[in-house]
Amino acid sequence: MSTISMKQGLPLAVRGLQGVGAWICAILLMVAIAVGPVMMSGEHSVLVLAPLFAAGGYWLAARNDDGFLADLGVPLCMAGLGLLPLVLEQLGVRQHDWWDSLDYVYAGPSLLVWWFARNRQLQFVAALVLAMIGWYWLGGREPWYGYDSAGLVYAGVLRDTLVVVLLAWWWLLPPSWGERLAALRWALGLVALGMTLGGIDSFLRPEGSGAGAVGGTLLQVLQFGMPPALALLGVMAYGIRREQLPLRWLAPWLAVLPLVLMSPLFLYPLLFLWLAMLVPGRHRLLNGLGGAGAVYAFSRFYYLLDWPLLLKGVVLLGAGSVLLLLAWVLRRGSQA
Amino acid sequence: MNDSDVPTAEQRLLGGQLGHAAYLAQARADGLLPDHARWQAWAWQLPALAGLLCVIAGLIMLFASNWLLWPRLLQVGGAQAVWLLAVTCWWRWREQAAGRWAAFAAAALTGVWLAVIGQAYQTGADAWQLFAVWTLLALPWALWARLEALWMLWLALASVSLLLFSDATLRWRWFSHTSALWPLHLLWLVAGWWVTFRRPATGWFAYVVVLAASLVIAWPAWAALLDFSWRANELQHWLLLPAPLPVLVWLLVNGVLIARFARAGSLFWLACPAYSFWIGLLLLIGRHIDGEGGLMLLALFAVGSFAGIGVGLRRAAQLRSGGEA
Repeated sequence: MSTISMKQGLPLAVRGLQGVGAWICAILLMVAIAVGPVMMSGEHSVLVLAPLFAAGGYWLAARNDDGFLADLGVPLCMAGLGLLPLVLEQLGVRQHDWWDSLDYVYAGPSLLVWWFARNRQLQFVAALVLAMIGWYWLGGREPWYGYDSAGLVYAGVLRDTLVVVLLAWWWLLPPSWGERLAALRWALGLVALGMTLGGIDSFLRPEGSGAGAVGGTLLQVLQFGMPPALALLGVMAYGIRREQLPLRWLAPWLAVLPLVLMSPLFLYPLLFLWLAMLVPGRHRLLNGLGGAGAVYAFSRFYYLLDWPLLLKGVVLLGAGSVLLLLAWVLRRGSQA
Repeated sequence: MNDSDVPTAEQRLLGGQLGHAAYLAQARADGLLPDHARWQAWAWQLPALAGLLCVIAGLIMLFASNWLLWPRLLQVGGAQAVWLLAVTCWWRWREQAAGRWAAFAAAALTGVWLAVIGQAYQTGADAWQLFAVWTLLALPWALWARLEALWMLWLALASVSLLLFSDATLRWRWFSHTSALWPLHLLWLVAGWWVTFRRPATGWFAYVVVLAASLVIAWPAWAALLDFSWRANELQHWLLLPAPLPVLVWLLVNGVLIARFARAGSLFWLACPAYSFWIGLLLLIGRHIDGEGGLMLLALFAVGSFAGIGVGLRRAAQLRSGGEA
């Protein structure tokens, strides 16, 4: 009897639509509360409504016996927690404009919800918020980095290296954190992929870099591109060793290294493509994310302004030719 | 949503009841990890595909960077030489899977030499004309290769050419009750019909097509539901569907999908129209609400109806799994 059995929920694509719907509900509820009771009954009404929705929604979402109430609870809890800045304003905590520090406001509650929630959708939403806050904090924009410190420049590089190591650890050698780890690793992977491909935070690259490029001299390229690339290479080497495959099968992937050094756009798609082969039962989704991410990375790579178009074209042609040659050699070897 | 999507063995691994080595051994026994042959194929197939993409992208960038310096004939000749190389590879490997990917390369590179001709000789062609001709020339490749990635490219090219044409000829407004272009509707209706009825599949291509078709049909209907005046279409243009038609098409298509897939078929084919109706209903109600109290009622209705759809989808999933058992 197979022990790989699954208690099936809704398919992932449907849950994706459900997730979008939950966000629409939560935002509507937050706006309705901010515009309605807060304006009509006074701002202090948020002190009642926000905890009511958060706690009540959390309790409903945790119910296992009725899908309707559990689905109702998720957007209620999200809306209640989303109004925390208003609550803090009303409580007069530190006379601070909490809307400027949403990361501090949401970090604690999302950590608690992710750790204790029994509802998978709520757990994933909390993990997503946690991952985004962690991505932001590791990006070096907080005062504790010191705005003039060298750490600010290396923050993005170290973040990419750390995230690659974390994702590999959580997928390939997961610690015993329970099923909540599944939500966190998906959330971190999606945030890393989305933020990098979207070029959302390109401010942590050397002077003149933009859109996630590693511009500058060869030394800078190695300085800033090598750590995450080495982390990725480590994952590939681990996979080869674990599956007891010939080391020469790594060769084509080394041809992609110049691209990873030039830009982190290719880093996470390549990681997902490898994880797709190494993680049991996750082949399709990880492959889809990695493949789509890689294709999109090419189109973003075209618009990177920190490398001359001619150089990018030459590097791509060179890497592509080496890849095709090595692929042909491996294919011949496999047929022999 | 409390059903776990983590396999039982993985749950035990994450809970500390199963060791990592034992987990991997079970996964191999259950066929959830690729075997040596699969690894061997992947080790050369993926780099080959990546190499092809790198070469195509590199050629596009080389042409983009250098073409101003080259004589016109060399520009056009170079672009067409690369395209001919792709065609030659297709002919050489037409009996194998590599031939289908060579067809993809040939279809993609068609746009390159069209653009080069337009730029080199300053033909004065509009952007929509480039995409329209590219779409027509890529069609035979798509029909021959029957490759999902190529069909995805072709659908994107056709849609872009239609949107650019409408923008050039009637100053098309993307979020307006006048945004419904019947050629775009027809294109995505046919594509959606093909993947859901004619050739049922549930891969990534089918999901993307159904989602895109849902959005194309829903968008003008949602915009029409939000339009406070419900005026007739003041832009009388042959491209546009008259004002009430987008809403009727949206109602009809989604109604048919819900009726057809309520008990069988992929759950995504049911979820898309359900959520499309839900958003439309919220927009319609939102249009008529009055004051802060109405906004709160709308929000609570949204939450309740959202949960109701969740229950409905879960029951539909149980019907399907009960039918399979």
